[in-house]
Amino acid sequence: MNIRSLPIKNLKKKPGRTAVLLILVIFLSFAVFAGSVTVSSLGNGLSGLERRLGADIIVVPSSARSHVDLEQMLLSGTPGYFYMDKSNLGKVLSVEGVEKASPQYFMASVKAGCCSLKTQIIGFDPDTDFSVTPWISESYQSRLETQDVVVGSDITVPVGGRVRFYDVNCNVVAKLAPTGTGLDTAVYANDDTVKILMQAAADKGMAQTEGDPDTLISAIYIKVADGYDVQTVADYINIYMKKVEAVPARSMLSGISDSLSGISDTIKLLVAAVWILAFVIMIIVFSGLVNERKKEFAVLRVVGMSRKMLARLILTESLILSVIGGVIGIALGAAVVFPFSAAIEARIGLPFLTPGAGTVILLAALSLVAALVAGPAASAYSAYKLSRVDTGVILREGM
Amino acid sequence: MKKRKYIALDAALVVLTALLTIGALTFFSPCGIHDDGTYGTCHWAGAAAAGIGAVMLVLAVIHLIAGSQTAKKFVAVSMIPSALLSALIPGTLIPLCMMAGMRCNAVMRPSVTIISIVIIIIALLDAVLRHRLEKSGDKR
Repeated sequence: MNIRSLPIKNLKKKPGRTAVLLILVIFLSFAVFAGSVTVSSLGNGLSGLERRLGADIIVVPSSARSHVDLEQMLLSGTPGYFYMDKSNLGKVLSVEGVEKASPQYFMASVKAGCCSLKTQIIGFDPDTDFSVTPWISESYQSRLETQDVVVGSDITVPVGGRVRFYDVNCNVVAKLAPTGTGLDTAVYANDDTVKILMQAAADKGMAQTEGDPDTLISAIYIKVADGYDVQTVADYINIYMKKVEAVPARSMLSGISDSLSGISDTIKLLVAAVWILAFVIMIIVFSGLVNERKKEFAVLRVVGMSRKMLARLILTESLILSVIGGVIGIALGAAVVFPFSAAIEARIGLPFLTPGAGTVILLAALSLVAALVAGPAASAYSAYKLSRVDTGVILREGM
Repeated sequence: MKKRKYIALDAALVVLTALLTIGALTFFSPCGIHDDGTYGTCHWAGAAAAGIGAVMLVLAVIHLIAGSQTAKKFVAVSMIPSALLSALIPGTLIPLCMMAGMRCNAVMRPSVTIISIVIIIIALLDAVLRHRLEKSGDKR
């Protein structure tokens, strides 16, 4: 008899028992891996959103909140629009503490014969912009020409393709890196392109404003100079400028941050609960096997196996189950979290950006370690008990 | 009565192909009708995936009731290109909607792809095991 092959033969001999233990390890490693990737993705989503906003304060018309959900529109890319007079830009630039200010133009396309997709179109001034250009320059170094657009990562039109808004064809010249937020569905263009689209919408009877596009802007993105307090600058604008509202970006993010923290804590708690539950069930299953396997171990003692070898046999069996179950659980977790990340993001309504390969490999390794620890640890007591079976008593009882 | 070999693989192929067929029409169906009353191409991608799923379901049932290991092996092999085709339908052979977050991209495509890949793996495993059985002379 080859002792090295004994653990595998034991596992094969009792397929029911092996399957139960394997399912427990799969469940455990699935929960640990899928849970940790989800928590990591939520954290990535928030930091991606913070980086993408790039502004300290966003100034919008004071009537904006009555038309749209401001946070949803600015942070989640929900199509919407509002406009204010362009003269506000000059007033904002004269406020002490404002280092940079750049206008943006919002437009919503419709899903109809005139447009290939319903999305938020964001126009910016390439000469003054500091919030969109750094992102675009990662994928596109040239200057955006009229009717050129850069699309978010969630728009599946390839670079070099075309999208049509209000029967105006626009060239997709680049695609942005994902942020894990609704902003990944937005389309970015220069101010001239947006004005052409606004005119095209008006020509089709779908005007989004009565005013002259040349005199209107939607929002002003502000970078506050070093040494100035963001809240103080925002308060100053709110007090001294009429018909506008200055919103500190941090205050918009705080709601999302709170929700993310709540969900992350819940997931961590669930993962811990699943791990403990599966671990306890495994201890119970292994303990239940002590009586069932007493005779088998007594015979092995008679044929010359030492107590240490018996303990090692049990631990090897549980280690084999842990490796196989751990790998299957991690593979299942990956098959659920990564392909369905867009569905998860849509379902929870929060930024969700899956981590990079390095982090995923690290999380997979940690999940495998969690499974490798759980199996042998759960079987340790049973290994101790079985290795100390009184061979004579057991065999006499069986006779 | 002789014990059937690898009945779990027979059952898995029937269940997965049924899941693909029914799922593509129901719980992971593509986007619905658009605001302007038209269907997107993703609708037809869903219909095609369901159609190929139905063909594979028939093959899986034939595989289940077939008596010889040789017949089972060849039916399993024939399912591999069919499953590959169904995996390629959404997004590769038939374009889906332009937003990654839309139902066809977020739910239907990964579901069809994953189920198809699992079918390929099981069919391949089944064919290999049946081939080994054949070689060893066990014709049950």
